[in-house]
Amino acid sequence: MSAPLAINLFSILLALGVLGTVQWRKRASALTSGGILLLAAFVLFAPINNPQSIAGTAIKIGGEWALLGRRLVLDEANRGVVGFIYLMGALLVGGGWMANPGRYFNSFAVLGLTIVASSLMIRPFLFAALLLEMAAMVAAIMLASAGSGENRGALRLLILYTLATMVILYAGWMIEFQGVTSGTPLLVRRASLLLGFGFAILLGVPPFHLWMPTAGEESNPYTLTFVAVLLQSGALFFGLQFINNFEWLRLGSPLLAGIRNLGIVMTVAGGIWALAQRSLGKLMAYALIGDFGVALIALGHGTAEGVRLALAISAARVIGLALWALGLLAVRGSYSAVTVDDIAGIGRERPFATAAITVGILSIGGFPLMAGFPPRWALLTSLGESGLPAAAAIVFLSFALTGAAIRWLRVSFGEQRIAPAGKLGSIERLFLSGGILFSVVFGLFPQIIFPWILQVTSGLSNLIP
Amino acid sequence: MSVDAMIVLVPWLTALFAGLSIVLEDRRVILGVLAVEYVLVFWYANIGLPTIIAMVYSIGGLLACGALWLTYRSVGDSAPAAQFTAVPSGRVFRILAVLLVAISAYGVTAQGWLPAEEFAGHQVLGALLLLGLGLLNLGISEEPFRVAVGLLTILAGFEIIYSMLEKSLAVIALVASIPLGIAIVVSFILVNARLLQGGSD
Repeated sequence: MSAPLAINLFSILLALGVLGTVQWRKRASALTSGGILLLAAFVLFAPINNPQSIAGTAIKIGGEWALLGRRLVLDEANRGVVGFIYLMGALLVGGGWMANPGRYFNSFAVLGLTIVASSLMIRPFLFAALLLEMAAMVAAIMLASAGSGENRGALRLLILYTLATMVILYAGWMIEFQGVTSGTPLLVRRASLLLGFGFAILLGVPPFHLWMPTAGEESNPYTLTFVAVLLQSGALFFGLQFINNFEWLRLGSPLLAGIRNLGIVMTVAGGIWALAQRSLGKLMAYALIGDFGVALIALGHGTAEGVRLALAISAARVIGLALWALGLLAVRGSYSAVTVDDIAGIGRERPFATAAITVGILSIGGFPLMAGFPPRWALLTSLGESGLPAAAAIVFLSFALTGAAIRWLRVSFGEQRIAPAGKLGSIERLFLSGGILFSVVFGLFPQIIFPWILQVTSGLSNLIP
Repeated sequence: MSVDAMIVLVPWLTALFAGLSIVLEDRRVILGVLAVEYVLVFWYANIGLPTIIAMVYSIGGLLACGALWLTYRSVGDSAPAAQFTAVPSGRVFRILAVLLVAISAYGVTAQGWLPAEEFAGHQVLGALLLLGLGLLNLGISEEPFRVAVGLLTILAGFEIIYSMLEKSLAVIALVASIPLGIAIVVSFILVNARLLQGGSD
């Protein structure tokens, strides 16, 4: 049996199986999250290419699945990163029942996760672009099915990813067949330009971020969180594979400096936009753009530590965003309100939801004691004098988001405008409290996730010797 | 008419159909025009690929047209139109824009930006015309149907170029499946929007 084939088959069965449980939200979330956790455990711990004897029968799980001339490979180099995708998915899907993100959220989430996981296993890895396009299609359906009927965000996502796929496929052909090396500077420039353009779209670098704030207004914020984290993680790991595999990208081209500069632009732009927002959904989208900018600054640092910090920021993002989106839905679900002013005074009625939103904003902003703080602090201390603009951008984003959190708190405990309806159940409160605790624990003890990040980056042998 | 003259004419025929998909309003006609574009993609792809494999590119696009046609049969023309109001999008403007993009594509082809050893001039011209006119379609409207037509036109142009480069069956199958995937996503969006509006069809 081949591990990639088993993963894909199990995922399809799980996606179909949970369709039968859509009327029981909690049960469906628990079943799907459990299934995804099983997949993560299989990916991380299954004895690949290592024959085992079970009850006298020799069983060997192969690491390769050949399909029409291309291969899906699961080995020591990529099992950490594939496991990261599944664990992140299990965490987000597990909280999905609170968010009510649509009947088919669980099924599409499993499909999306497996497509992105396959994009990390495909060889030659250049063809991951096609799988990311398919993941974007699933994401567009998820956004539309959890939306208000206006689907501009989903359509923009589809357009941008289709354009990026074409550009990266063409660049991939140039690299593979035109012999791009550090000795061919013209080809290096062309390929770098095309790759830079393609990845700028995939990573949501302004002005290619447009789908996010639009989806933040039109769609369920939890679905947006899942989609944005999934697609951007897939794009980040795909980009890391490019840098890891081609020496001319690491040494000869201005790509790393470009990544750092793009990161600075994203961080500052995200901070400015966040300051100007009164819509909590849009604020979340812009905070996400800024946070991703910080990860790019870390990546553009060009060191092994920088790559690890970028991944640590990505891991912390999952916790902060999930908490923010769940808190927002616990508030917005009752009031159907969008702007901060619409939900004035909610703090007294929904203290858990208010605290979750506040901790989520502060964690994404990298406030001390929150999950987002340790990797930011480590990044700031490693940037040095030459990294002053980058450090200033990171600090600016932190101040902008802390300001947004203070404004949100002030309004939420201000004069009440709308009478509250309904109450949060005890399980919802427990979930939100657990999320807040998670964020604080990771903020105080970042060493908990550090060994895991070491495993995730173990496949990038050229980038991290 | 000689074969050489036909080869020169095909890119402009491509431009005519892609232009019509921008200028016309009737969605059934637009889907018909799009289907013809994908038949032309087969003609281009068949230059570098065996007939049966070249057909894969065409079939993906034709299936996409079929999926969109079925959706419009059930949803009708009542889907929300969300054209940019800030951008002029009258018929005269669209005709002028199509002409400008076609001339630009011809100019870019004459510059020889793509490697000459891989591509013939008429292939590059046909591909660039489709890419440019598809982008124009995306630029003038955010209405889901127009977005689908624009994206499928761009993909048709890309497939002409990519058919000359990539010979792997798996990759060809994946690339050819993208138009169908886009058509399914847009169909889902249209049907879902209709359901949320309380449509009864």
